[in-house]
Amino acid sequence: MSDQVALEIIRSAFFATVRQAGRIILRSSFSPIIRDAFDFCVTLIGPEDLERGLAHDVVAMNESLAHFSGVMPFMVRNLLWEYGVENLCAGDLLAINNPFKGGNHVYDNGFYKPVFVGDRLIGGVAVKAHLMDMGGVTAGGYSTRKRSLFEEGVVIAGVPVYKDDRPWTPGFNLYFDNSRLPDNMVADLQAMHSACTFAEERLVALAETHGVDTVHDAMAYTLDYADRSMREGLRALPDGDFVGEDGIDADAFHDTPYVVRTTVRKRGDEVEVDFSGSTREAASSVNCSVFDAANGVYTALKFLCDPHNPNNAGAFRCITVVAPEGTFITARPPAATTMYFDAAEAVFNAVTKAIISGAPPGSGFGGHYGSNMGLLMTGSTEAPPSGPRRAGGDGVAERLAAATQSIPVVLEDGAGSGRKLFVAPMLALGGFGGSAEGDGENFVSMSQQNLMDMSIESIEEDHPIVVLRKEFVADTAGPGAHRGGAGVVYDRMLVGDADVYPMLLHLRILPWGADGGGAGRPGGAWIGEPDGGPAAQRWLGAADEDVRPLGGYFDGSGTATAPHEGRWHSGNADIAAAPGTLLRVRTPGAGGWGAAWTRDPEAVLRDVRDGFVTLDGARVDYGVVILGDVDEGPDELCVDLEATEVLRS
Amino acid sequence: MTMLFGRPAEPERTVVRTDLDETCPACGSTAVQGYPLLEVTGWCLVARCADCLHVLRREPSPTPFGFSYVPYSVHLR
Repeated sequence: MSDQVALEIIRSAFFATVRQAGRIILRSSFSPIIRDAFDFCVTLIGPEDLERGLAHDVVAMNESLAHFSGVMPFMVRNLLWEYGVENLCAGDLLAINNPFKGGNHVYDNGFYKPVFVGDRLIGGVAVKAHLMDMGGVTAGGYSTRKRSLFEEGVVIAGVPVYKDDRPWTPGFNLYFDNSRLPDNMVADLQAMHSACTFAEERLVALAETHGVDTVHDAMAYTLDYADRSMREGLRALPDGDFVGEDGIDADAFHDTPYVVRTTVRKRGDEVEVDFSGSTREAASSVNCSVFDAANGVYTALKFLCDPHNPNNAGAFRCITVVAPEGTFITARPPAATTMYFDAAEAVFNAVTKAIISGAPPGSGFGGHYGSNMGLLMTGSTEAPPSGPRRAGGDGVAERLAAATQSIPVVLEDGAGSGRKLFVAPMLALGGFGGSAEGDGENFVSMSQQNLMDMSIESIEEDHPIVVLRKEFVADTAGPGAHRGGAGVVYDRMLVGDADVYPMLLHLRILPWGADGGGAGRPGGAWIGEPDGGPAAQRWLGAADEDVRPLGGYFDGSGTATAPHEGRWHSGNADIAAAPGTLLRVRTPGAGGWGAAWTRDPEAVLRDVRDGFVTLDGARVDYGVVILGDVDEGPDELCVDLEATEVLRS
Repeated sequence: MTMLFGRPAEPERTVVRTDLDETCPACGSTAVQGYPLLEVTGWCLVARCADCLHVLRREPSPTPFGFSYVPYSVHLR
């Protein structure tokens, strides 16, 4: 057995390696969804060494997309089981995107590179990244309406894209010939190979420095370390059986809720999560595989019990999942899984609610906003290049666009039809729940994501879209002694024809409040149709009542209401949108923590001054009377202590 | 071989747990059940105590993909 100091040094080297490899992907990939939105991961894989308890485990993982962290162990083992370890060669890079063999959706492409010292397989490197278009019926992929895997895109399981560290044309052609955006594929696949090769070199260097046996001891040590750390966190929670429930609103063809039911059985440092009673598979692409459901469980428990120790498969040893096959969170092939992240997020929520229900008083936290409220806008336009950077020569425009924009991508066909394909998946950020520590954050990504919001300037530069509004909405945060994060409203107006695919899947369920805090206020989506007049001017002044409900619960005037207090509109119908169409989404507010009427009046005053709470909201939600004029004299606002005391008594 | 195109007929799905006539060696409970389980190392069938979660026996799934989904590639093995 190697000495403890060496093991600890090598453990740190494993994580430094995957983080550095991740930076290679950030620097060199072309697809903005990888580089800007962090939709990728890098993992270091162990060998099969049963004496040390190693079986192609994920030993180290960088900090990027949490949706990938728990599926990678399954992806690697499933890939190697089918491909055969005996068939691996140095310099191979094998591709896999089958959701039922590696989790997520077909746009999330995994790659595995074996690492040899001589003829000995000492481990491997596995990466995964979102490639923007894999064919299928929808450019860019995002749609709730696909009925099967075959409509989502090309499915790959164990095809080399590199052999002997050189591109293997048939493997690359799978990507080139099936994607509407092959330009991005070249750079993205090269980025994956570069990252894997860097990590391979580091692993070989560690083996040369310390010896292969010591490196394998360090892998076992690293996995055991995470296992111990996670179990220590679990032991701090009370034992018991706890239930939690969450879900998604509907599929594209059945306007009925899909429910995740969880029973969390916690004993000592072990947890079993049973999904019995969950709703059957959905008829369209709102399902996820069992590996994504497992990831929802892993992420929730890691977040709750051991948030600081870096991720690897050892952290998940103490967690077992009882999963009835054929539910919408344990879908079987060829079910469609494009929107896997909303289903997996519902798993995270259900498990979290169950754990919180058994946690000591005061230790809960409010629910996050709960839905990306995505809108995929795609089409082609004859609009001429809009900015000066477009005159930069072949390929330069795309590279410049990639350097400045976020998720949206474009492909220009300057030598052909002159039309420009645009694919703009517009996702929304929102708030996180309040806790004993303080108010919830106001503008963050969901629990299993690390998305960054795209810049307005680049959206408008590269797409026939104008962003009219992106701002916090007052009185949407769940009230509490510590309030939740505020809802965010986005107004986007099309200036060209486009197909719009709404993905509004979590509006029936409000973000929960904790320990007496209020639930987040409801979100919603609206659409405004052009009338031939000046559209932007019209929409800049449009209230919710002036546009038509698209998704959510609404009262008779078109204002979003709490679930079951208004009329439900399922927001998953495709839209053929004309120029001048407004699409408005407003994320739900996040849940609050603690009784709102115990909130420090000075904190309420600050929120009023900053626009998170109105004067009326301060009075109604918090029992705080504030004097002054927010618009004319925000710095002169003050709390009427006497009136507040009377109101709160 | 499973290659299903239809959804399950039942609106909700539940794992069937079979009561086993055994006693848990860890806690003495007789609530020992058999059912499929997903661990981070893959699918398996377990005999497990419902009271303390002690696993009496574990039998790995023949393939890593679960008990009802078997990929067509097994024909090549």
